Amino acid sequence: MFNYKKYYLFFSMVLLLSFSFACSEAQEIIKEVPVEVIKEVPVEVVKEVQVEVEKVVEVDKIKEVPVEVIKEVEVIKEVQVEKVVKEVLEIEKPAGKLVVYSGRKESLVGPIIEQFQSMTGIEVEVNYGTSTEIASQLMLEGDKSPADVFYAQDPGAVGSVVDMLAPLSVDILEPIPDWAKSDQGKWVGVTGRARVLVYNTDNVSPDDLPLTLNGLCDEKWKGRMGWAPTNSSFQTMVTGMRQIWGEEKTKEWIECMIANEVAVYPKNTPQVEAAGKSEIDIGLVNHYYLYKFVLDAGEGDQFKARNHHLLGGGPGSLVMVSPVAILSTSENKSNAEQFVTFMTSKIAQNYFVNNIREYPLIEGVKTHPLITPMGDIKQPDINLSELADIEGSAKLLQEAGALPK
Amino acid sequence: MFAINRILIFFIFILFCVPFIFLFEFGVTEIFNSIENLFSINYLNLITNTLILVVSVTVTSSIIGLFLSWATEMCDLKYKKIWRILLIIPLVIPSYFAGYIFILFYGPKGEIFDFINSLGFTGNIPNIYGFWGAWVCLSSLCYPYAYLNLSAGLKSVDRKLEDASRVLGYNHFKTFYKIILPNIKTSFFAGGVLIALYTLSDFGAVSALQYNTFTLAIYTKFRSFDLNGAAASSIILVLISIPIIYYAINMSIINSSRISQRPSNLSNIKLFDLKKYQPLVQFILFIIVLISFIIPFIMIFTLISRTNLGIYETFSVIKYSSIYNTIIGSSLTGILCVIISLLVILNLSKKNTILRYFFESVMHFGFTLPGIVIALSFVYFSINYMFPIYQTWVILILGYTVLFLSTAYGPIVTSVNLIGDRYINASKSLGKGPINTLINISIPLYRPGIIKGFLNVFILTAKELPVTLILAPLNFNTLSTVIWDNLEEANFSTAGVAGLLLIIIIIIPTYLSIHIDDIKIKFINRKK
Repeated sequence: MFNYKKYYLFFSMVLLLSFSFACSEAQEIIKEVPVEVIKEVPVEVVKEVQVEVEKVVEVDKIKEVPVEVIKEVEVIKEVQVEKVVKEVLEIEKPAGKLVVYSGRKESLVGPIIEQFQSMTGIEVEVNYGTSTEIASQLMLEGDKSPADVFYAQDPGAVGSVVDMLAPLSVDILEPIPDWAKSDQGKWVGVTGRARVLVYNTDNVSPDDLPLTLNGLCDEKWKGRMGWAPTNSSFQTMVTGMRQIWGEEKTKEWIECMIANEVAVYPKNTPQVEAAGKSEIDIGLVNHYYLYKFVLDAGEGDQFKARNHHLLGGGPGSLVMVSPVAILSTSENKSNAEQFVTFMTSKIAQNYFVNNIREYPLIEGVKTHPLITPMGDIKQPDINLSELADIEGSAKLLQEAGALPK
Repeated sequence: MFAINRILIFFIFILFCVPFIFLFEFGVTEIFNSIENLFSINYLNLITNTLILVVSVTVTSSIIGLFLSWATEMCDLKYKKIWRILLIIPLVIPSYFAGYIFILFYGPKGEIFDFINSLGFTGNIPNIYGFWGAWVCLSSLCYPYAYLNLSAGLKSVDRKLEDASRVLGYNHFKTFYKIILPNIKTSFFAGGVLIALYTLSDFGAVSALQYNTFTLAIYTKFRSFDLNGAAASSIILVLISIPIIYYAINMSIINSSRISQRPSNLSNIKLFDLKKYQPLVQFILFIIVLISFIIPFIMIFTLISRTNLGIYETFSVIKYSSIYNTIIGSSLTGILCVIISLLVILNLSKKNTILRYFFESVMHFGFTLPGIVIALSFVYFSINYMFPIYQTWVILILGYTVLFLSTAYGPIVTSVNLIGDRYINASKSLGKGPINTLINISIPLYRPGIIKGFLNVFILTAKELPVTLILAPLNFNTLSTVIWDNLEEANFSTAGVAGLLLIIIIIIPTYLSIHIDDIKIKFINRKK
C-alpha cells in the first residue's frame, strides 16, 4: 500500500521549491526612477534628432523648477531625448559586461545601476557589501580580482587600496571639483555627504548649538551626546581633524568627549532615531539619514530632530564624497569608464539628489530643496584624498580610549 | 567504500582548516609584535566583559531550554504544537536586527517608556544599554539552541528507563533529575556550547546595546584595514574558546561510552500530568514567548507601519530572488551539514579518538570565529587555490558549512550516542550491507537528531550576513542582506517586511519537523 503520509515531508519540500522557482521567474518590479521615461522613447525618434536638440537650449531655465513637482516631469523628458539618441548609437557596439564592487547599499544604487544597464546594454554584476569589508576583500584578491569598478561609501576605503587603482582619464576628472577627487587622479567623488549635528528640537534650540566641535566639550552637554566611533564616516572626520587641528588637539577633543559621557552607537541611524526620541540631544552623523525619518513620520514636525551645520566651520563641517574608481586589473576598462562617466553625469546626479538627498558634485544640478545648499556650509579647505589614513585615526581613537585596542 | 570515506573525510578536514591557513598567514607574526597590547587593561577588560556575558547567557539560556523541553516533551502540556513552533522562532531574528528592535522597545525612550509615560509616570526606566540589555537580548535569542538540543535528546531517551525508575519508587522529578538528565547530558552541553560560542562571536546585538566584547576589537581592526591585527585578535578569540570547546568534547566522549539504549517508542510515552500547575506552566511559557517572539514581532509591524507607502509597494521592493536564494541556500547547507556530520560520526566513532578530538575542536572553532573572518579566509583560499569556484554557490555553501557544522553535529552526535550500535551490528550480522543499514536502520533511528541538526543549520544560514555578503555570487541577495541593507539606510518598512518573510520561511520547516513526529505516532498506532 502506498502510504502518502510517509512522503509528506518530501512532497512539501517539492512544493516549497517549485513555489520559489515559480517566484524567481516572475518579473521583478523595479523601483521607479524619475528619469525612467527614457525607455519609452520609440526608436524612430532618432530621425528627429535635429528638432529635439534645439529644444535643449530651454533646459537650463526649466530646471530651476523643483524637480518634485509632477507636472514638470514631462519637460525633463525632453532633456533626456538627447541622451537617448547617444545611447541608442552605443548599443550597436558589443556591450559586454562589468563587475562592480559596491560599498553602497543596493537600495541606494540598485535603481541607477539598472538604468545604466538598460541605457548601455552592458551587463552589470554587482557585489554589495560594506566599503571596508570590500576593501579587505580586494586586498586579498590582489591581481586576480574579478572587479572592474569599486564604488565606496567614503574615501578611506578607496584610499586603502589606492595601489590597485588605474588612473582615470581627464574627461572623467575634469567636471569634478578639485577637493572631491583624488590628487593622483585615481578616483572621483560621485556625491557629497555633509557631517552635521543632529539635535532634538524639543530640548535644544539651534542658537544654543556650538560654533565648532570644540564647543561640545562644554559641561552643559554632559551626558546628552552620542557618536559612532566605529563608523567609517566618523573616522574620516577624525582624519580631517588630524589634518586641520593636529594629532594632539584631536586626541584632547576625543578625550574630553569621553569625559563628557558621550553615548556610543554602532552607526548613524540609531543616533538619528535616538535624537528624535530625545534619548540624546545631539548626535554626530551624516546629513541624509534624517530625511527618511522625517518623511516617514508624516506631516508636520512629528519627528523631533533636525540637522545643524556648524556655523564656525572646521572639521565638523566636512563634506565627504562617495568615491568611484577603476581597478588597474580590470578587463573591461572601456565599460568601466562608461560607468564612471555615467555616475558623474546629470542623470545619475539628479537621481542621487532626488532619492538620497546627497549633494551633487557637477555644475548645473540643483541641490534638493530640503537640504542646506553647499554654498552655506563652511567647508574646511581640505582635499579629500588627504583623508585616506583611516588606520591612523583608528589608532588615535584607540589611544584616546574611544575604541578597544 | 572504506577508501572513499577516508578520502571524503580528508577533504572535510582540509575544508575546516581553511580559516586557520588564513589566521596563521596573517596573524601569527602580528601577535608577537603586539604582545604588550595583550596585557593592557583595555584588552583584559574586554576579555572579562566577554566572559561574563558568555557565562551568564549560557547559564540562563540552558536553564530556560531545560524547562521548556521538559514542559513540551514530558508533560501533558496543552497547545503543545503551537508552543513548539513559537519557542523556536526567536532563532531566526538576526542579532543585529534583534538589537535594534530591542532598543525600540526597551530603550530609554522606547515603547515601554512611552507607555509608562502615558500612564502618568515621569521618571526614567532602567537603562538597558550595557550588560543587562545584552544579557536579556542574547538569552532571548539563544535559548532555542538549548531547547532544540534538549528536546532532541529527550526524544531519543529510552522511556523504559523512566518506567523502571518509577516502579522502583522515584517520583517524576527525581526520575527526571537522576535518570533522564544524566542521559541527555550530551544534549545539555551541546546546546550550552553553541550558546557560549554564539555569544562569543556575536557582534550585532552587543554593539547595538553598547556592551563592548572581544569581537568589537576584531571588527575595529577590520574597519581600519588592519588585516594582520584582525587576524591576531581572532587567534586570541580562538584561544579564549579552547576551554569551552575542550569541556564540551570531553563531555560528549564520556557520554558516548554509556550503555546502548533502545530508541523510545513514541506511541507509549507516559506524560507527566501537570494538573493544577497547567496554568502556571502556560503562563511561564507565555512570558518567554512574549519577550522573545511577540514583542519583536509587534516591533516589526511598527517598523512596517512607519512608511507612507502601501503594503503592496513595500512588498514590491523585495526581490523574489532573495526569497528563493534564502530557501535554496539554507536547505543545501542544512543537507550538506547533516551528511558531513553523519560521515564523520559513523567513520570516526570511538576507534579514532584523537582524530575525532581534533575534528570536533576544529569544527567548533568555525562557530567561534566571527563570520567575517571565515568569509575573508575563504576569499584568500579560493582566490589562490580554487579560483574557478570563487564567487559561486559552491564557495558560499562551503563557507556556511564551516561556520555552522557544529550546530548540526551536536544534536546528531547526541542521537547516535544514545542509540549506540546494537541495532546496526544486528543489521550487519543479518547480512545487510553498510549502505542498506545506513538507509534502513541508522538514519531512521537518528531521525530526531538529524531533523534538529538540519533545522539549526537552516535557520542560522537563513539569517547569516557577513559570509553571504562577501562569498556570494555577484548580483546575489538573501532576505538577510535585504534586512541589513534597508535597516542601515533607514528604510524601516522594507526591513520589517523582509524580517516577516524570514520568519515565515523558518516556520515552514519547523512546523514540518514537529508534524512529522505526529505522523509517525499515528502510523505506529495504526499498525497495532
